[in-house]
Amino acid sequence: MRHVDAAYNLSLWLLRDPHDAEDATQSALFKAFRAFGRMRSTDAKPWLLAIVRNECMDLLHSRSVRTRSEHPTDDVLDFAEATELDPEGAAIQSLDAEAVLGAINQLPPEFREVIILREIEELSYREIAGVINKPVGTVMSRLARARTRLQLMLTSTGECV
Amino acid sequence: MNCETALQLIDAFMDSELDPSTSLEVSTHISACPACKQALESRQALSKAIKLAAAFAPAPAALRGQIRHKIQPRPHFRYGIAAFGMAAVVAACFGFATWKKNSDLRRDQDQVISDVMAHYQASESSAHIVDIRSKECGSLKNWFNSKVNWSPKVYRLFSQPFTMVGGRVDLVGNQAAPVIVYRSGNSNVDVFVTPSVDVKPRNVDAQGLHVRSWSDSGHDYYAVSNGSPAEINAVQSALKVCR
Ligand SMILES: [Zn+2]
Repeated sequence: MRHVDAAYNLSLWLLRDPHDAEDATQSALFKAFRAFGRMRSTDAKPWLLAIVRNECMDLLHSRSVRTRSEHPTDDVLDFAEATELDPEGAAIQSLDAEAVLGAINQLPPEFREVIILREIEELSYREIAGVINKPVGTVMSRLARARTRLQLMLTSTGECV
Repeated sequence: MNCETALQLIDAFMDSELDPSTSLEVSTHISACPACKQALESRQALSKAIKLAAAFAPAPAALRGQIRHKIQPRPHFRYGIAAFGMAAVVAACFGFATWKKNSDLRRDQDQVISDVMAHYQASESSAHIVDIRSKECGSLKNWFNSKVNWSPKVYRLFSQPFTMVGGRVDLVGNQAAPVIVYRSGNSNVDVFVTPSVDVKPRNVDAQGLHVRSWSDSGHDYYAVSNGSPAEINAVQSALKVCR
């Protein structure tokens, strides 16, 4: 059941609602079944996560009320953002789980998903690119920006980017 | 390499996504540059913190359980798709081979028990107890391997009161199951072997028959006898793996 756990976890991270996550996972599994004959990849996990991810993103985009309507720009890494980090203050002082989870949940979904796929599901950039259907360069820049945002959130006192 | 480039590559460096020569360049820069070294350490700390936090995330265990429950074949599944469909989805996720072996066997234990009881009675009344006579478990095992498309271990009895009579193949569910027949006193004991669906140990005593089912090392076993309960319990505990 490993992959189903991963599918459900990704849904939960993206949708932040257990009921929606359950629905999305079931729906994705249903689609996975229908697409099974067309499956090209030999690795089932990224393949399944891609279906789950699309399901979640569709759901997020169709939600009438969104907490954030921000869309990341996929050009080169925004170094202004990166250089805001003061090396001295960059050391994350308080790493309590609650704060980290809160920070991840504050990320826009497009950033949150690359963090989850990399840090928790431990997919390679190439696999992540397959899941989110974007070039590897986009994965790299989104991941960098997502991490920078998290660091800023976790080092500043209540001040969010 | 300057700091800007090093910082630009620091995530890919940490994630081991750089080609060896670029990775070496970044590494060389970092070892000589305290600021970039600090930046890398912060990234590593963050990465570790995320992994730790995820482990403490509100455990979806119960919900996972619900999902698992829901994707089991059930007639009132919300999409109304056939049980076969969901079994196949699970298969897509966990490996087709495993599914092929097990989905056919994902059947109710009660049904299996009633199957094996019927087979036992049929063989007793037809006097066709075995397809092959054998007292030697190695040859019996080879015979089974030619008859069923999976490789069961054949169990033998080593305690004196029991002797191996031979084997036959019966259809359990829709799968060919090896049956090893032993003699105990005046009664036969049939041991049916199926690929494991991890049955819970169960005892059934009905219609003058005793059934013991258990799961061991990848197989499920159903022992049936019309002897005494004590006798079949003794048979069960005397079974050992034949390798
Ligand atoms: Zn530097």
